Amino acid sequence: MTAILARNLAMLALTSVLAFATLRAMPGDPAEIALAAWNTQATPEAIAALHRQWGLDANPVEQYLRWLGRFLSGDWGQSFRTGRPILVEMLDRAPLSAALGFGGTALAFVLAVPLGFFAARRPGGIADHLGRWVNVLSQSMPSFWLALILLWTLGVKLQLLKPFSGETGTRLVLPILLLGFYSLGSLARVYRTELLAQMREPHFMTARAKGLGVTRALWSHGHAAALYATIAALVPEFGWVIGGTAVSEVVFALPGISQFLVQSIGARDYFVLQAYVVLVAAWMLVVRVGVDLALRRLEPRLP
Amino acid sequence: MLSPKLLPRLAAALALFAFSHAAPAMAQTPRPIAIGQPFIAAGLDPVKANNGWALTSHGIAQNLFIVTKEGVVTPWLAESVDRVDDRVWIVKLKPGVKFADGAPLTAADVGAALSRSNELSGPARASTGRIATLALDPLTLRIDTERLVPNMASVLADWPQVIYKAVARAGGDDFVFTGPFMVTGMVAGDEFRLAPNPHYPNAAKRPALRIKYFGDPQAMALALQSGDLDMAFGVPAEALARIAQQPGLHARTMVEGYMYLLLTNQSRAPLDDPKLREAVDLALDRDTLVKAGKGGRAAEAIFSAAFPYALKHKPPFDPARAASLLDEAGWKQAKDGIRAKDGKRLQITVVCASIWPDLLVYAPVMKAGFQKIGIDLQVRMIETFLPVANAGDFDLLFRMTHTGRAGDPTLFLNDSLKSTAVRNWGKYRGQELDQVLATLESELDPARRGDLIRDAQRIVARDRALIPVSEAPFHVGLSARLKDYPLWGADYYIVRDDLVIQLQ
Repeated sequence: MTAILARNLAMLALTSVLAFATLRAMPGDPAEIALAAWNTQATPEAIAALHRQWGLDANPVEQYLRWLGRFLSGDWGQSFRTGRPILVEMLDRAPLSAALGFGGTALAFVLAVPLGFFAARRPGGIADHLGRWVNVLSQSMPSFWLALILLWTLGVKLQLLKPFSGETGTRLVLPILLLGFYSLGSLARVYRTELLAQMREPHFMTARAKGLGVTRALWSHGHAAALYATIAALVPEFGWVIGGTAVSEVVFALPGISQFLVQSIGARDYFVLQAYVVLVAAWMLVVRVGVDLALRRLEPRLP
Repeated sequence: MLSPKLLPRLAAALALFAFSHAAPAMAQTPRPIAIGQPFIAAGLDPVKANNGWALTSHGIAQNLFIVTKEGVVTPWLAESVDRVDDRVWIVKLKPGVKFADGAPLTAADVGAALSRSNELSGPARASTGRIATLALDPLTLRIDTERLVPNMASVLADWPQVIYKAVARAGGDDFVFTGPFMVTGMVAGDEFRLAPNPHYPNAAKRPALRIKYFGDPQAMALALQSGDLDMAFGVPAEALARIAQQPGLHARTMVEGYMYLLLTNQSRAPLDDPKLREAVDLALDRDTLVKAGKGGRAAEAIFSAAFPYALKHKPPFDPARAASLLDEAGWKQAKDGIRAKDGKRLQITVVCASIWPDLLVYAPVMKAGFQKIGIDLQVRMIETFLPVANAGDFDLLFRMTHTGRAGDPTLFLNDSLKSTAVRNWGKYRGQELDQVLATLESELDPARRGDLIRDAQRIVARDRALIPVSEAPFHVGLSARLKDYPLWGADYYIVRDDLVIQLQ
């Protein structure tokens, strides 16, 4: 556990260096970009003043260390597009993005287990075909298109909900459905594949020889291992939570972190992008450790 | 005497009675009007980005002058502006105007706002140069300008000259405005929640508003159709028929001085070559573009044909002449049909911002047309216009703008085409145009000014600093609640003080 934490912290440190170096290497001076966005003439004096204010006049190593110090103390700088502190912008938007990401992943997980189970229980059956179709469609259908179809069908034609003006909970239904759909296919396949693998294991055959039915044997002697594999597969899915829900947030007009990120990329809001890269790396660290703890709870014999 | 057991029942009955009689009163409070737009102010500071324009469009901010429905510049917060001499103006304010916090609007406030904007914003200085202001009395302001200004009322009606009060507070200034609506909540770049400004006349007749940003115009059209919006401003042309067919919804289109223009980047190859720029101009099939876009008019000049000063000369569509110009410039057709010179393919990148949905239709039509004469047109869609424009990262850049804004064509020419202009994103260095603009600064005779403005247009057309494409349409969808709300002023005045609704 300590080794995993140490490895991930090292990755986080490396990511912060890379984020810092990559953004410094990008064309365009952040001060000039900001001055242009503020309709201000980029005179040498104005550029120099911003460089001083933002600490860009120091050497790169000093700049990085200063930035890291401020970042760790909660001073992530200001968005020059909105004029507000970046940490505040992120914190304001985080609950919405988290609700979307966790909601979509949780929905997919809850549906993936029964779908994968029945697909493995009867390969070639209805559940197996359904799982395969969900998988193929989620891989091949552009998410913005499916989002518009959902809006048209459930919002306009059937008038089942108000996708843009209802309570926050109502407004999250369609995007969570969308995100859940895109994770469901892959998670169900992981669960099914692992369950089928378990069916070839001696302990499963022994259980069957003792007279257990296929369904019971699968549940009692295969489910835990399949669940284990599915939880491990959640790591990339949880990456959605911060910044991975851009299509949902843009199409459904939700002010989450992803929409903020899209607008910041468009505006080349330099310090937002820098903070975002490190934030995602930190988030993935939390997810990895969280998943690792969950797996250990399922399988205490893990080293 | 009443039985104790009956008391709770009686209380419940009374509560039910009270509620049932209160319900009609509650129902009289109309739900907020919801407006969807493909743009929204990024904050409240009017000098940042396009906030001044957006805040006025949202009904939050006002100028000293306004351009009316008929296109006439008329007093708004001011009563008059008079020239004292070449560089000195006296502004008289309307009495009784108040900020949303209840404080009266004074000449000192106006002077502070205009001076702050002038100091911090390039576009605010574009027509006047530096200014100095002096409050002569609570309702009289003197403005001294660095440059000669022939038409101060137009300058004061222009979007950078918004009137506001900056209130210093920890963490940055706060801003108070005078418009018919005031901000009650905001998520920067996403949503404004507005309430009627209680200090603006007839506040009780106005509803609360919700202005919502939509990154996807199709989703905005669907939001109108699902009943989430009362107005969808800037829906794609293809959504119009769908909206019009739905009972209770109304579709409208307005063409009001906005132009689709192509900025040519004259600071880098290949469009630093005048022959290539001319070829691009001749290869544009404007009529087909307008037909594909289902709205608007083919452009005749950089100004709308509706304006008296606009040059009436529709640029020809002549692909054969365009091809021969490319030949003359040394670009020879290769086997794949694309021209090349010195081993380099003739590739031109056109940048289109997605907030202007017509460009999604224009771009492929242009690409096909350019391919026929051997130009490989690369289309780059972007989310946000300003950063790309400021960085000069384009060969051709689509811009949609009101070139005759505030009733004065020189505002656009000065802030977008003068060699030193902040918004001269194509880096056009037209000394001849600069001279004409300098002459215009001191020319007061209307006929002579008209001639000079036409001269300016001829120079711009000759140098292809901007290539006019079409007069841009705005497509708007409205719910039954706003079906009688008159739309005018394009996107400058979407929310106005006449946005009132009948109580249900």
